[in-house]
Amino acid sequence: MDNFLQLTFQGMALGCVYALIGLGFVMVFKSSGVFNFAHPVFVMISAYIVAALVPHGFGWGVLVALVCMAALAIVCEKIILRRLAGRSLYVVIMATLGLSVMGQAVVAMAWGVNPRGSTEGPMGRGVLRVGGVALPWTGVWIITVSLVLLAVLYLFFQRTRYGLALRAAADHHEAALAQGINMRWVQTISWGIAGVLAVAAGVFLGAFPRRVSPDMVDTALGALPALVIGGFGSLAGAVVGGMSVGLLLVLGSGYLAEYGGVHVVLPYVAMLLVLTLRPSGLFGHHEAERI
Amino acid sequence: MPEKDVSAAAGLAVDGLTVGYRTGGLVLSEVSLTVPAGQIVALVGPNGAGKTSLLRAVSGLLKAHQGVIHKGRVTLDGDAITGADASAVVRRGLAQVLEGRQVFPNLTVRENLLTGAHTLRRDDSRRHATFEEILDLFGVLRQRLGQRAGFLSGGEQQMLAIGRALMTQPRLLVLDEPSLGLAPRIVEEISRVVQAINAKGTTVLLVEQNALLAFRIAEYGYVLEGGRVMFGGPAAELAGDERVAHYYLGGQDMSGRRARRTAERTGR
Repeated sequence: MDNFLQLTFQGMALGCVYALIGLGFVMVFKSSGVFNFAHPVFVMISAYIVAALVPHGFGWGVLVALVCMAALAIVCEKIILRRLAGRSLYVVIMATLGLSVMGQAVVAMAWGVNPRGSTEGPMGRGVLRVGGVALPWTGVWIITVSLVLLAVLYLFFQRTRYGLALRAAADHHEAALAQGINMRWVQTISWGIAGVLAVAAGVFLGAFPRRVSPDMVDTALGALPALVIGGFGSLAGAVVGGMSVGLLLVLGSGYLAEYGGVHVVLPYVAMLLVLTLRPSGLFGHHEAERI
Repeated sequence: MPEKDVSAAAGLAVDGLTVGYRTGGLVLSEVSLTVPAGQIVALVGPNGAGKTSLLRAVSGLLKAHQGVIHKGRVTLDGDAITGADASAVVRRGLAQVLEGRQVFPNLTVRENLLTGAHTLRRDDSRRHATFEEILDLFGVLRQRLGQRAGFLSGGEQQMLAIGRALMTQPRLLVLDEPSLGLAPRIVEEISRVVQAINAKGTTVLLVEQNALLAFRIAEYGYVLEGGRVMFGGPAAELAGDERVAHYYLGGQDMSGRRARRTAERTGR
């Protein structure tokens, strides 16, 4: 039982990270119709910035990463993707893939390709003992901060006029234009929020497996099955999908250890099941093509 | 700064507008019309005449459809709004109700209405007053404020779409086929509402396929076909005009033929 609780806790922590990454994808997709393949690179760059600045203070690292990523995301949107508005989907996808490759190359130039430290900072390596269960402090931090971020995001969407504008724009693009909603603002804000989410995900991903390395891009791409499971384009779906993937991975690695690395395929099996039984995902509506 | 044309009367003026889409071809050529402040002006024409494209060109939605204004100008109360962004046009006081009751289906009725207030200055009391006025105009929406708009009936969605546009406090309201696909009783109610809105001082440009309905409530009307204004005149005269009857009966004729075909098929 203790083992199960322990694994569930770890799974939830990893699930929170996937949820944050998934939300970054969904924010951008819902506002500008772009599937941003560069998002995992944003996550990695954030982790590198924080890891590099941890010796000067964790808080400084996070602050610098937040400013850099929000700025980078907004610049990508304004300079590159806005110019591609109305071009074919493939052009836009290739542009974000190109950004991703560029980002990885820049990181390799600046920091090399070997793992560089971690982003633990004050989260530390200790454990919190609750009964017979040992909960790593990193996990406690990840779950707490993620819940706070989700709550803030929820309040932003439900209670502010910009949140309402974003939801309206995602619901019906042309009607939102006709209502005088300024789409440039909507897109800038969503990309900015995606940048902030990337920092949170980067810090947590760099603290949880305790390694900041170029592999983080692949790990972050693990959010894709989460998005499909949850229903692409749904914020709630990103959270539920992320949680499912985190739990599947960790519970799988705990209970199926004798079968080698089989847990790695579990999210993809779940994804295929969902695609077969409910193609729009658990929370998805039918996929609307943007104009 | 927008250029001020002192000679232009208050209201909307479209002058020599030529519009095309990147996908090819012109859809409007040299279209000119005016909507004097305080009036209801009807624009009628068959499917594909270019009515919706004209509205898009006026309201700034053309870009979202890969459309381009090649020539001509549009002014609202003397200010040039040719090719302006949709949000700028709404701020200048022109609101458009899109064809086909395009509500935000996943937002509640209240939220749908509040999107219209997005462009307003943070003047809560004024926004609240407008909100209440709209609910007085559309009583049925008051009982549905917390409901998701996607679950409303067609008539209710149309009223919500009009109410939502009114939340931007427009001086000119542009309606794209508000009667489309609605029961006659609802159509009657909507035309009453349009007249009530106009009576409170809002100018209305009403685009309709249903010419008789449009000319009954409008003061002036235009007939658009093949991307050109064929003719215009006082609505009362157009309603009795043979040429309009020709277009209108043309439509009737089509449906007559369709009815015959259906009868033949079912008779077999």
